[in-house]
This record gives sequence, C-alpha cells and structure tokens, in this order.
Amino acid sequence: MFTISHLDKLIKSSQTPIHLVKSIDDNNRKCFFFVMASKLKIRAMQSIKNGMVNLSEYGVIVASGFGHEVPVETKLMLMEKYGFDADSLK
Amino acid sequence: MQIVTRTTIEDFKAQIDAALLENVAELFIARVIEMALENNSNKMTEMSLNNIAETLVKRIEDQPKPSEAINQIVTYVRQVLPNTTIKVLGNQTKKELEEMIKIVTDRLEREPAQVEEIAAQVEIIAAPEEEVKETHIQIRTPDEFLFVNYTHLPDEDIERTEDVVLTIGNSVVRAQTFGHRFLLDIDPNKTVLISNITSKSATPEDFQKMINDAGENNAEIVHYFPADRAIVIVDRNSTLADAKGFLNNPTDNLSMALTHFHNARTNAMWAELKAHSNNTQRFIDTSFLTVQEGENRGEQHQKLQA
Repeated sequence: MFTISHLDKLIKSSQTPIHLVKSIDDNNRKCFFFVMASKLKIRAMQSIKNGMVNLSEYGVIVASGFGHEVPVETKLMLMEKYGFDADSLK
Repeated sequence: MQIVTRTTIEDFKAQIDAALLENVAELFIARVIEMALENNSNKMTEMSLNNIAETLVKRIEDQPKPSEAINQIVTYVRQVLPNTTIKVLGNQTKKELEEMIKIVTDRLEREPAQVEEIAAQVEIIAAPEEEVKETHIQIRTPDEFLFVNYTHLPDEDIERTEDVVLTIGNSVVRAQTFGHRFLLDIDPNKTVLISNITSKSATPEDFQKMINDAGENNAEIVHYFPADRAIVIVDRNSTLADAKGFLNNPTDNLSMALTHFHNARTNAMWAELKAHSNNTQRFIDTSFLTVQEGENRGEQHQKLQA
C-alpha cells in the first residue's frame, strides 16, 4: 500500500524515461537511484568525469536506496506507483 | 488569503505540472499549490499566501544554489500572481504579499547565514503571534482540509519529510509536511470538532470527556494547543493512556507525534517515507557512475493497458 500524490500521478503518466543510476555518495556509500529524466540530461551528467554531481538537478528521483542491488520492495513500489517495470532496464 | 478562481486553477495546474516535471527548484511551491488544489479541483480554493512565503523562505535553505533558486522562485511567483484574484481577509493584504516577495528578492543580495533572520521577518509580517493561534488552524468542511502550524518542531526531525502519519489510539490521519506545515486529511465521514482547551488546563477528565463526545457524535476531535503548537486527534477508540504522555509532558509534543507516527500504518509505508526523506544522499561521484538507460515509456504504458 503506497500513498499516491499528484506528483506521482504525473510521473506515472509521463513518457519520459526512468533510468537506474548507481554510484557512491559523498559518504563513500554505494547507492542507487531511479531517475526520471531525458536521455540528454543523463548523458550530460555522464560526461562529467571525476566529480560530485547533485543528481536531483538532472531529473526527478522516484526511488533510491543504499547498495547496488535494488530490493524487490523497491521494484514493487515502482510498478505499483508508476507502472514502471524496473526489470525492463538493460 | 488568496482566492483562486476555477479558471485560474486550470492555469495553475498546467504551470504546476510543467514545474513539477521540469524544474526542481520550483518543486516546493508547486507542491504547496498542489496540496491546496488536489482535493478541490471543482471548488473555490483558498490558500494562504503566508503559507507560500514561509515555505518559500524555509525551503531555500535546502537548495544547493540558494541565489539561483530564489531567482527562479521569485520569477515564478511574479508570473503566477498577476493572474489571480487577491481578496484581503484579516490583516493579509496584497501589499504585505509584495513585502514578503521583496524580502525574498532582497535575499539575493545577502548571505545564507541571514536566512534565519529573513524567515523571522516573514513570520512577523505574516501575522502577529496572537493571530497565528486563530488563523493558522483552518477547519473547513469534512471533505476539505486543515492546515496546522508546527512551528516549534525542530527542523532536523521533519526536514524533507513529505508524508507522515499522526495517530492517537486507533485514529489515523494522513499528513503531509512542508517545512513546518502539516496538511491533515480528516475522515470525510466523520464530524470534525475542535477543542479550545490549553495544554496547561488539560486534565485526564478533559480527555475522557472528549473521547466520550467523539463516541457519541462519531466524530474525530482535533485538539489544538496554541501554546505548544501541538495537535492531538482523538476518536471513540482513543484511550486515556494515549493521552498520558502528552499530559505528563505537554511541551514535548514532538516526541508524542514521533512515537505515534512510528507506529502508524504499515511498515511498508514507513519504509517508503524513509526512502524519500533525508537518509539518502543525492550527491554522487561520477567516477563510479553506472547508468542503465530507460526507454521512452509510451510503449510500456501501452503494454500495461493491454
């Protein structure tokens, strides 16, 4: 059971892709993010080498967590709230 | 207060939708407006300009580039407000709104350390202390909503929290926070009553009477304690034990709220709230970056519909 806000509805209905981004944060912890953003913005971020970036400046973060393995609960949440199949990412 | 006509609401929605998806810096103001509109799309909607101004100043502190964020916000507010009808209620005037915006604009020339001082100025302009007690609690019809000020809650405990749940006994309400402000959804099938007792005068007998009243009227009773800025919600299932902590330490409303919202709803919901709150850093090192690119979701939508 998840609460669905107006923003969630917008994200769900949007055709903008959702990407899975993995890295380490500023505390040296592994982390992952599902980010809704245009491919152009994501590639712009990828072009920044060896630096810290604020991911939220590149798109809307729809889910996140620590580690590089995405928990099943997160995948279920993405499907239920946003109709997004995390396993569809290559 | 700002009265938004139905036509303007549609304009607002279009702008909000665009802002939500495209501009993170404007997210907070869009969300405030969204809250006011979400359950009232076919009605006249009232929204406190002070709510926006206070939230605006508060959330600026969270922005990685405050000056840039303020620029965008001020531009946004100025674009939106000329198209709205402003009706003066109480001591809130268009001139005061302009003053609030000016304060934020002036902030562009100031250092981040002065944000607190500016926030204090906005608070003073918003309303004198005595009037805050009366005007910042707004109970409307049961299918609408109320705003509650929680200005004494420390920032670190509710910062970036988008949803919390407050309960007492078996009564659960959903709440959303924007800085210091909570939006409470009250069960539309129940009557909402508000009590005017103070924390200093509250006794176990007072609570028992409220619980009895709630039972007799099938009501949820909202208790607001102006001195402590605390809110307690009681229904027929509440018990005196629920209120015990508050009675023993009436100024510690935060601990009470947190105690109850830890127990609220399901663990899944709590996990989700945590995931979206401040326990996850969003600054990442591109040296270790891996990206699994997603595709345009049009096809996925079609598959799901099929």
